[in-house]
Amino acid sequence: MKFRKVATSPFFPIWPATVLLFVVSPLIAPGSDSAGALKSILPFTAFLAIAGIGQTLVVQQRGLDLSITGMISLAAIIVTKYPNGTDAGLAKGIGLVVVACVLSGLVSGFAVTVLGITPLISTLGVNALLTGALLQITNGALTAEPAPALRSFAFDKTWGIPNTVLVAAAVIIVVALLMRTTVAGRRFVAVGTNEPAAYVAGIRVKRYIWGTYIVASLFYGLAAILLAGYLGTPDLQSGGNYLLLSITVVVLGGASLAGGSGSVLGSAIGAVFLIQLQQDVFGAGAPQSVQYLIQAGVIALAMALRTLIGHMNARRARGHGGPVLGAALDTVVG
Amino acid sequence: MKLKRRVRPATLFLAAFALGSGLVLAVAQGSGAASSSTITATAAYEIAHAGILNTTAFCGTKKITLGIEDGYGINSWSQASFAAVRSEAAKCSNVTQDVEAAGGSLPTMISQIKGMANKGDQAIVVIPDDGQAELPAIEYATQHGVKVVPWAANPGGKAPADYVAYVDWNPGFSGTLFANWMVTQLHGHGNVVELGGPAGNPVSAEELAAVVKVFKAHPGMKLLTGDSTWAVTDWTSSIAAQVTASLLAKYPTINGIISDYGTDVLAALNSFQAANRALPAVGVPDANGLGCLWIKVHKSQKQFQMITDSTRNWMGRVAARKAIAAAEGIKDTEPNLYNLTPFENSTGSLPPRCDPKQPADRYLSDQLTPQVIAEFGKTN
Repeated sequence: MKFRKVATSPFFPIWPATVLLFVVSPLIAPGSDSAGALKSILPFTAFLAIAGIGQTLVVQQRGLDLSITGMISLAAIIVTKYPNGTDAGLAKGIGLVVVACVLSGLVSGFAVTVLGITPLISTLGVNALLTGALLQITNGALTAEPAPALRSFAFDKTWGIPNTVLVAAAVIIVVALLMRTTVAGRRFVAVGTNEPAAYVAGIRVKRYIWGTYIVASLFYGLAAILLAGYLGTPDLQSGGNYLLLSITVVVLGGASLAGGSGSVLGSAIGAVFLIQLQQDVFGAGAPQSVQYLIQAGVIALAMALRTLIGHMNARRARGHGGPVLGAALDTVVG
Repeated sequence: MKLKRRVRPATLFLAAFALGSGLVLAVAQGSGAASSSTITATAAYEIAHAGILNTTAFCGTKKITLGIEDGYGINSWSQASFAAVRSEAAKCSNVTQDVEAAGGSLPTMISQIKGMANKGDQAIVVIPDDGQAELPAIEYATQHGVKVVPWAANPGGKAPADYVAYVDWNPGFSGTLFANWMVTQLHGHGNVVELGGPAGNPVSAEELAAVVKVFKAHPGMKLLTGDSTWAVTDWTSSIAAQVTASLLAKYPTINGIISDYGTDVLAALNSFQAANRALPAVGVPDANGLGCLWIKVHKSQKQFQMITDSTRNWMGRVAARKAIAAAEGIKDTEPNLYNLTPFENSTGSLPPRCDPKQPADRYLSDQLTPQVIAEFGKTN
């Protein structure tokens, strides 16, 4: 029964899918899951996993954060520009990133909770503000280098594992634990699942939603700091890729775009899956257009699978019986 | 009569003298006017001096507005380009600048060019990053009497029907230069990847075509990224780093990189270092960080050699002079197309250059000071 419960969870499919992908990867693109290959792409997986946490939290609150691209780009520029190649200025740079993230989250949260503007429009507007700020402080280009300490940290490995991956793993574990084991975490889920019910239960709903946008921005900022250190020469579009990618990993991770359920761990595995898939597609020699098509296809497939599981579980809950996925898996596994 | 006879020769002499003097003066003035209002320079001189000419003869006297449009406008290359164009135009007190950047959006660029024409700008200098897709907007401006000079990306079309002149390097020449050097460097056997900007852009396409042509004569040279496309970086360092990581994962041996953007190669070499892979030989337009990296590691990584040509932002000066001169009715005979010679060659007599006081993504071949970049390398 326990296995069936796990298997019918919307967060489950990404795990076997990722294992399967790594199994078939050598057939699609020889060498794509070798140690050297993984070493090359792991930092990018880490950046996406951290950014994906922020997007997951917003999606859990029935939102979608379009400000992710502007926030990552701006934070990468701030943490590079203000230290301007000196370790002495690194603390100031990180401090300014934190301020920028909090401000961005405050504005998004204010627009959503107080003004009642839909998250899509609110975060789209904030993204425009962030892009404007970016252009204002850079005059259209950045010619500076990150602090050497940040560069070393983002580049180095500890126990053979890239530091960026260790940071991502630590953050994911902490957030997952907070969500599962603390009162605040459970209330957060309750607000996303059923806002009126949470309100009636005495939870300060607006405060949770507002806070979500701030925390999400801070995760984008963290991803950007590591990205800037790794790249050495971040440009004004460092965050350009992360909108579609972050939404994809959230969907792959099993979160419902209708809000409520979501899993930062699932999203992190989604990031591993997506980066490896990109690797395979690229390795197979497919042009960029095909990569975009496959990415879109993966979102559609993940959404369809999630809806299917939802329907099956609903049917089972209503006692209609019939072949549900969990039962089928129970039969196969015994 | 005697008097008359005596006077007539003198009168005739005086008249002849006056006429002759007048003619000489007129010719002298005419030639003087011609020499002061014709902008002339050789390609070799301009390549050596980053297009910097000590003249304001192109400025004319009419008050005009110069539209300055960059289809991308948001990276280091664009910043240097703005600085070159705007600092050149700033030499003319009668020229007002109208500056726009499209951020890589084709619709934005089209509307900005048409907007400049509709506002009454008399001249436009434009980098048509989307190539031929932007030709209709350029033609629209030309049909409205605007003197348009596209540069740095080929919009198709023809001068003078569609625009005044198209100013650029010859990307095929650069591709041939890099490819031939790579063949020599790798002794005719090696795996090379081509990095380039957005899919289908004319700059990367022309460079790639030249590389393919050279490598065809050397069967041992393998272009891992294919003969018809390149690894797309969008001229963005984050994508360049990730794409290179994927290339490194796929190919156990990469001996060389050819690219049309130095900042991309800097990001790519980052990925090589992160993966603990030997740095490859590099053929690419210059970037300060490349020279600095070579100086730092070449003794321990002998295979890491580099050849560069100018990243060519200085051609914006030429484009600005041509556009302003055309609007002022002044003749400009400067070259339109430049075959760029090497700027650095670590295996030859042009050692890589590094200015440690300047950031990695500055282009020393442009001879732009940090002050000029700070003052003019922006849209406002």
